[in-house]
Amino acid sequence: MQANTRAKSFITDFVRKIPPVLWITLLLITIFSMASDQYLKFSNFTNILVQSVPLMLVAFAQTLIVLTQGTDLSLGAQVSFVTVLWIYLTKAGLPIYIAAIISVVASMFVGSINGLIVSKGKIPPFIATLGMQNILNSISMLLTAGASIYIYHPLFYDVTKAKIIGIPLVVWITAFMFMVTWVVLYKTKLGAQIFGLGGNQEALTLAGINLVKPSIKIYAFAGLLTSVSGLITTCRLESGQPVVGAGWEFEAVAATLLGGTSLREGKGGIGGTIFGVLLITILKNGLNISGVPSLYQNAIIGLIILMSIVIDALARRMKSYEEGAKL
Amino acid sequence: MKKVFLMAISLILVVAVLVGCGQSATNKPSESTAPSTSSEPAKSEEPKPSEKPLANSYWGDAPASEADSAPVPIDNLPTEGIGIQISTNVKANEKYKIAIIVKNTTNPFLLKSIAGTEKAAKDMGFECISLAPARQDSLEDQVKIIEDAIQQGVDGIILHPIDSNGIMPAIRKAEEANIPVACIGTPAAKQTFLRTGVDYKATGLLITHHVAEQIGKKGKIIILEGPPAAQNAQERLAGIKEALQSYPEIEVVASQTTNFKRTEGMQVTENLLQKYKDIDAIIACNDESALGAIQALKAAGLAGKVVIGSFDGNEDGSSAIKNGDMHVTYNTDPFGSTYLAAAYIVQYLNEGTMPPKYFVPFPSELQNPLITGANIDQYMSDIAWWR
Repeated sequence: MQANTRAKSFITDFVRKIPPVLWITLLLITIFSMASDQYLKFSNFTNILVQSVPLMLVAFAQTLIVLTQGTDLSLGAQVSFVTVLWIYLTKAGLPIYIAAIISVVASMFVGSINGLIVSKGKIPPFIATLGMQNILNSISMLLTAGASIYIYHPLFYDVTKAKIIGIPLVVWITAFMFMVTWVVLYKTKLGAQIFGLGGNQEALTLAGINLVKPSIKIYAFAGLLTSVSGLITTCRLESGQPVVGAGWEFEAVAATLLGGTSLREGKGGIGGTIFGVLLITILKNGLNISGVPSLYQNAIIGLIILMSIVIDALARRMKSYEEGAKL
Repeated sequence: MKKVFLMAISLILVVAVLVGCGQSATNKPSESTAPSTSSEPAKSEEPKPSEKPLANSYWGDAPASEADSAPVPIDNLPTEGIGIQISTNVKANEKYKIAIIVKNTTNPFLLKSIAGTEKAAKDMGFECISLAPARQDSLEDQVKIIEDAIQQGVDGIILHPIDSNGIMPAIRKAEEANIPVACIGTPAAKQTFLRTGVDYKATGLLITHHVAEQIGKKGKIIILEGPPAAQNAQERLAGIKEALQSYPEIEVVASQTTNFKRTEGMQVTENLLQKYKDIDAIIACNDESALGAIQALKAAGLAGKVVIGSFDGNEDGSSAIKNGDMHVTYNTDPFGSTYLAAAYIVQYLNEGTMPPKYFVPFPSELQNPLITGANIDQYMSDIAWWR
């Protein structure tokens, strides 16, 4: 009798430990694979991974900012800016690799200005980064005269085609960036400060910790992640697109929330964000493959994201309630 | 926990129902192809035409801008008529899957492109899949859609590219999978299986000549341009300017952008009318901006005194022609263009027949695309693509 209940509680514990976003994702995969026989194929698996890459990197950046209780609205504009700047500088005659490095540095610089305004100027991140979004959009438009810019270079094609052990190179790059972010978040002083900023800013200030430097570092690191997303997007589209990233910042917020990171308490982490992004990508891919007309797609995507977040929140509340009851 | 469980169950239901709806559309063909399994052995003996190597002279690297844009004689087209009258004798040998991929689902022009493909699917007997970016006019989403369509195993793609250069990597992927891509409107940067839809430059030439005749080949005109960065607007403007070279007595007093928008067409015209009160004609690069200009002329008491030429032949534009506010517009016929593209793709999938050339303008000047007061009633009742 006792063993029975113990086994039962073990299973329920195990089921509860799986974040809701994961089993919603699995559920979607099941439904889509029933809807189309083209779905469960290795080529579609890599297709989904590759499609998720640009948003994945932006979502990592957004997760870091959300953990500090901020929201960076300039991330999408940073992606567009990097795609435009890279092509623009290459067109101007710089070697393509140098141009890429300059674009990355420029994006990190933009991030650090965000961090400076937020921490030193004590401006809410929402407003500060909204301003930056407009400025970057405008610069991208000015550099390209409103249209896309284009240059032929074999590098773009090579990057998107390259595979290591059957997995595309861009996925490996993303995995590497994930590891870097993970180390920064959990193994460095900066990571501790990120959680500190989200948890209790006043306590940090009272403890005499200067918040300016960590803020600049965090936003600059977000800029680095975003710029890699921008470089990969450029390779995928083989052109500089002044509006390509529009709206990505919000999808990144959605992915972050789906991944279990909280907007208020500085709680959560980067691992869940992966599944948040995959959920969004799998949803879009599956709807396309099973031939759902695009007029319904946005509503379905919105509905599922909303319900997933609600289920996640309810599960959490239930969990803390039960834990409270145990005490 | 119970609540969470209930929520989860309802989520499953919602997803299953919605995907089921989408699936019902994809399921039908598999049911209807079921009887054809008897012909399966015959099929396996000779390879499907789409598995044959592609005619590389078309799918090459030649820039789209270098294409020959001469119209194809009407008798050589696989279709008959324009607008909603369009019909064909072409029949699909198998239930092909052909995807129509547009830029957004708010522009009536693009919606009628989808409608044209749906009619073609019904007439020729293939399965039509309509897809558009979830984010309006997002190139990145359009690329993903094409990748997903390739995964889905479509046999052909009809595409309204969002960006000529940026769409090339996705088109290359489709061509590597031996899927013919027909572009409508703004073409991809490199030549693909087919480009159809109007030749923007030719539309500019034709409308300008007509307007010039109307005002006696002399006078002052205003040009309302499209978005400066849009390729179709640039080509149309080039056509207008080229035509005007043959009329030395016509003076262009102003040429300004209105971004294809009605409000901007109105504002710009209002401002220009302050300065130039004695203009003879306005050439607007689309119906929307022309309708704005008409509003401005009415407010200034100049309605009916200025000849207005425009492009598209959309619903409001047709009404303006009927009322006599507008004088001429060009039927850019998205309905017929996609229908024609579908006919060429089906012919190719059937027998490997390539289109006569890469760029088949439609409707070309051979199909009487100009809409004036003389033919507006017939246009509105029998042809109009927006109906």
